[in-house]
Amino acid sequence: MTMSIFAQTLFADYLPAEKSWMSKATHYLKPGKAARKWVLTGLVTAVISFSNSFAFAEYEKAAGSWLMKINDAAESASFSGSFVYIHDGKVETMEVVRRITNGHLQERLFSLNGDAREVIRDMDRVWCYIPDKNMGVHDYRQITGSGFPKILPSNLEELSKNYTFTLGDTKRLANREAQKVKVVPKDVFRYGYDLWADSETGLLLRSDLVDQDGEIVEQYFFVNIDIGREISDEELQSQNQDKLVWFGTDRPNLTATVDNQQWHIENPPAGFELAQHVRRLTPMEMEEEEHLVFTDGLSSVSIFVKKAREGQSSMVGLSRMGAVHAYRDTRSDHWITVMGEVPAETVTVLAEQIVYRP
Amino acid sequence: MNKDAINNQLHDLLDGRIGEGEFQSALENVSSDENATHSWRNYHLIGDVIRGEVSETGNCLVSKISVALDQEPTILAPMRSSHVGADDSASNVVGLKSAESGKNDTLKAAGMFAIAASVALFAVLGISPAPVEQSGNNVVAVSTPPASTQVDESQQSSAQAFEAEFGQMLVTHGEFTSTAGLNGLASYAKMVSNESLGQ
Repeated sequence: MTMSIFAQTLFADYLPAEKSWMSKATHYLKPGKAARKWVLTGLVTAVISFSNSFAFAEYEKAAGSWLMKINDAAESASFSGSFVYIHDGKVETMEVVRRITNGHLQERLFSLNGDAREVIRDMDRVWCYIPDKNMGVHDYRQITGSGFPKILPSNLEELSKNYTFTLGDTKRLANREAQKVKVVPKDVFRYGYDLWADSETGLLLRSDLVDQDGEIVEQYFFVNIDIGREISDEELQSQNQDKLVWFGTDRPNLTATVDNQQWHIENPPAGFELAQHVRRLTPMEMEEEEHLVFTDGLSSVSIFVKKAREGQSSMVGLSRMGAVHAYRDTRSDHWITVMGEVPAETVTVLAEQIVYRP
Repeated sequence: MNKDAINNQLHDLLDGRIGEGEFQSALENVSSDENATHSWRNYHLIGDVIRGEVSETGNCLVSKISVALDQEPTILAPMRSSHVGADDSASNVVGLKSAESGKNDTLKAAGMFAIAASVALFAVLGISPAPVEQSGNNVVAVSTPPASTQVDESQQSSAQAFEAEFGQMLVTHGEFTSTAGLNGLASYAKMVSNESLGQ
């Protein structure tokens, strides 16, 4: 706690005075300053991490075991229900039906308000129905690599270096008892979570993505849910009756794990480690692209590296899409695009850190 | 909280009369009451029907795709087919031309497909990247890698390509994070989000 106050004091000169620090982050993220700030943050984080290595408290173990329960439930529970999705000041209601049989995941997710858009998933295949645009998109999920790391007892302690976990109260959500788990980041490079998990199964009933000021960046919560019931085949079929023009690919994306890595992040923010590095052909332009994913176990950031075509122009700099921040820059005749559900600082620092070393 | 109070909150919620401070607690109260939840769902289903009767036919997106295609001078028309159900979609999707038709044709078709599909995918995501302001200036600017030969392109076309490419990258990023227990649902919720391109 003392160190956190110390860190806040140190950052006071750097952090903007405005409440919406996230949208104003670039005030102090001019080239060079971000790097200096990152070094300072790294030092503070290192000291915090050192002190924390001795103290993965019992109360954190209890909260951590709930994170594991949430993770397991997401991979095994069949359910159907309606949920509210709130982002950028907008409220949308959606219905989801998910069936998992012997590890085979099928899901149908559709909007209850506005246009009747649907997403159907069957393992790695995804169909998006957009009847209001008279079109559909068919794609394959990229499943090369290890995927998002599971939350296991072995990496809970690692997570606790960058987040504090606490158990909150129980409350009723969607007519079920839910246990609150609060996940608070220890630095400015990641968002926090306020989670409410079904007490019985661990399924997430509500998730708030929270910025450093405690403002909710993105939120969803179930208004009703039926967990563990039999899901019929019909419920997983699209109800769309419109004739759509379909775009997509009839084969999985071509990906290959990159063994000879030429792009490196010298010093990623604390806790962020390379989880995946693949080379693939982009489904759009059929151009070769490298995709690196860095994750701290909860937050993840993608870095896309693509050779610039001769004379090609593009927009560069920082942009924001809901909870997602993105930063694009050029490096060694390549376009570098960093994006993820993380604060502006994280994508900016990573974009500054990436180097080409053949 | 009694039924009447919950119903009043539901109506205030639906009418947009709830203040920012009460919004969260009102949603929680409504979601904890079965009847209010059904009313909430029915309201949105009715809204669907109403909006379905008056909604535009998607010409906005079609015209955006047409503009994108017009800017690609050497492309061939893609194969198109219609599709109703999900079962047989794999055989009916717009595909790239086969390798037998020659490498050049394949690449040209790929270019065509690329632009159209990237715009379509961006529509699925339904969100538009907004530049983050930096000291009052727009930090997002047009750039060309220094070693490249300068060829003028309009800022508008760069912005369009930027949006489409970002949409596709976000899909790819979401494919990774959707396996995560903490935000998997949100990844796909973005895809059925009803904010539309250009709104």
